[in-house]
Amino acid sequence: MDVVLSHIVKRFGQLIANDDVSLTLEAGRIHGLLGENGAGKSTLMKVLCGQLSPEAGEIVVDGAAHARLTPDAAAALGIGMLPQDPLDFPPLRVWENFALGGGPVLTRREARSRLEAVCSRMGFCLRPDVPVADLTVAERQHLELARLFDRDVRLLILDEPTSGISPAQKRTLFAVLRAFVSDGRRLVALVTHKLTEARELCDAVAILRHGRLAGSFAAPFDTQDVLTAMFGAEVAATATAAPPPPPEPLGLGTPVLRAANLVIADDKAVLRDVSLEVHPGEIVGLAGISGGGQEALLRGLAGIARSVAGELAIGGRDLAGRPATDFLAAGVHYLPAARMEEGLFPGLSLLDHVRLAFPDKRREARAIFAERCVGRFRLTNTPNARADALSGGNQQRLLLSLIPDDTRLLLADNPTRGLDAASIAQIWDHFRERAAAGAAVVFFSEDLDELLAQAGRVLVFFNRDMAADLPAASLDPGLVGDLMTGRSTAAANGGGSAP
Amino acid sequence: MTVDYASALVAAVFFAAAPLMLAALGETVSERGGVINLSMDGTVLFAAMAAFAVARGCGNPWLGLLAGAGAGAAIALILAVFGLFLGASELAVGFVLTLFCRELAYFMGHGVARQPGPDLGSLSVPGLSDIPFLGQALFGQSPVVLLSLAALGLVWWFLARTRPGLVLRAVGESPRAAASRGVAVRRVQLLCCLAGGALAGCAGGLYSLSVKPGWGHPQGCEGAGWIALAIVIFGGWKPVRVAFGALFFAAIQVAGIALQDALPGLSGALFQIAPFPVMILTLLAVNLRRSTAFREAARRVPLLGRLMPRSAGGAPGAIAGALDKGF
Repeated sequence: MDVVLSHIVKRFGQLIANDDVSLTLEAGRIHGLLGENGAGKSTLMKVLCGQLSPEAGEIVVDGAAHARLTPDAAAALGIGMLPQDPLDFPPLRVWENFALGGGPVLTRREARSRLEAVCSRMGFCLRPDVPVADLTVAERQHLELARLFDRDVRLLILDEPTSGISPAQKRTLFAVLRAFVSDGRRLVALVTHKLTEARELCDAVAILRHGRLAGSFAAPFDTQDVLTAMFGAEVAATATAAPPPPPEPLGLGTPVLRAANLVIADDKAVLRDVSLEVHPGEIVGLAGISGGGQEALLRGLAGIARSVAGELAIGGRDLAGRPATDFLAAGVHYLPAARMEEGLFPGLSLLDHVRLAFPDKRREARAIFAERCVGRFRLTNTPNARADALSGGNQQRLLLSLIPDDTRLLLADNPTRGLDAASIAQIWDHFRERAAAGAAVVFFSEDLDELLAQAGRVLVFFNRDMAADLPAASLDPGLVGDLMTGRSTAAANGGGSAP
Repeated sequence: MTVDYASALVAAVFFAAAPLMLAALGETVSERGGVINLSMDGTVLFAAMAAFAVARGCGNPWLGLLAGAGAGAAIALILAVFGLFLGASELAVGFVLTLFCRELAYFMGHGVARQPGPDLGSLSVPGLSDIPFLGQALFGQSPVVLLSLAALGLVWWFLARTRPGLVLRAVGESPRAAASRGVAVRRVQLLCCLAGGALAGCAGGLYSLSVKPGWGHPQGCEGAGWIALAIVIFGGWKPVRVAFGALFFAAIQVAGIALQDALPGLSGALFQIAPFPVMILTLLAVNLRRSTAFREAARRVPLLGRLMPRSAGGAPGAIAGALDKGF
């Protein structure tokens, strides 16, 4: 199967997401589509699988040209996509999700037997009667792949498939993809913003930048060329430079945070028996697969999820069981992963956000906005704009600028998710500045490479339990990955010591 | 209290619950597909009028019931056209439709008000109606009860066991995911909205042709649609739970009447008002597990958690935004 995307144009209002992009995908190969967040990769792939209609251009599949595809038509042509956020039905059972695979709906018996057949062929382990909401990210991915393989997909599109899964799960996935294209008739399109993944897996890469095709290379490709195409010459230079080493703790005096046998009751999960000390100047990374307990810890330390037992002291103040306002008063601030949903008020102006954050300086809001948000944090929007008009990078800049300077403990859940390279660099510089000034930063990132590069110490979570506390010296992606998926324990490896 | 009296009370409960159950099941089908039909109350009343008028006109109550179902589907069609295809808010359209249908029903039904007309009569299934205690209630009094139980079985089987039912649930949970898998989402929603409207229309027919026979201003079924809407939410969108909700509401109404006989000293109005707060409190207890305060308490006193019934589950994904507080 050969697929040609020809002069595709796709606009969203003012924004041109795809500007005259042409791309050829050949059978038997794994094609990478690289570019930073917001470059237009996902849009192009949604056009290819029929979820979006392009304004201009055509999609040529095995010589037949189509001005646009519908999800049905794409499925009939053998095009299937694994989206970045799983597009499935969480309350429904595994077999029900599988039965609704596109095309005619399968009966219960058909679905179960075909699911079992695909799973044994691919080496997946999925129990048919479990609700999909109870699966891990990797299992949901397996279910989607099983569904697509069963419907005989020939062009498999994967959008950032490695976010939220462990290195071992990533190896399994890559092996499955290589086997998929090995017969020379099928092909894979892999959307990613990580060059290392593309190098590992892809036979050819195309690079998108600001919605345009910025270059295409066949393997083996030169790292510097690809980075320049992705980011432009200036940013590429900084992107290749290793980040400065994480700061050392400023001294082992009073810890900023001390928790002993803490039990945190979050909406969905209860995190038991956490004991932990964090000192000023530390940058602590939390590793774990989604739902492993690290999000609950952040919410618990922020006072959003209740601490129902144990001790929790911040800056020497006992806060266990206290309301979130006491945590704020003690200098604890939290950056949620869902920035728009949990951090901002979509319909309020940026100025209103400043007024809410600094209630006793309401009259100086404009000055604060100009000096702090725009001046120091390089927010690029007007004070009267609504928050829901902000780009992802500007949302995070606004949130950061609203956190007062005397913050003792900064908690961040996936602070760089979905952001462009310049914003990511700015956020880490800012966190290091805060740490150098005496604050402690605790963050969770689904991106293990980022986590290991930025953290001075890593706490690994598995199954709502703190599985290990690793100092920077003993950080190894394989070990952390095994710990966070329960493939090994801290004791078995001797790599760290749980307190 | 004799066994005969108790069995007569149970029979009264099933009889009074029948139309309520149909309306609530109709709304369940509609909401499981992602369409909130707030015109329920107007639909039930208008269909009651249409069913009675047609039954009186052609002398056949079953044709009247059919007309009621048709009227319900027609009102649902208005909602679907505006809400699903013209981009209007289905909540706002639903509200206004309720008021519109009510006034229209009183206006159009003026000619048949307080007139005699046919009704669905009684029915006794030989053999089954002799089953002690429940036999008379289920199989020995009226086709209305059998109809409501048949609808319950049908709706449960359709949602849980059939492939179109699976598609309907999928659309209600995530229209986007369903669309990406090639499901014609709007068409599915149109069909489930029409089916829900038809069931609610049947409920109206059951009122004017059997449970509260005749037509007038007021008819006596005013408010039933609103109760049905509440029962769907508190029943967690599960047909069997929803049916129990309808039976429960009918039970407290019947209990009110029975107590009124037993305690003549109390004001009659009290027994008419009492079912509503009792309903709210009971349904609160049923869904106590969703409350954070209760979960806190259950952590301290595990026995509490074991005593409480399991939660019915949340709203279908497509309408959760309109119904859950989100925090």
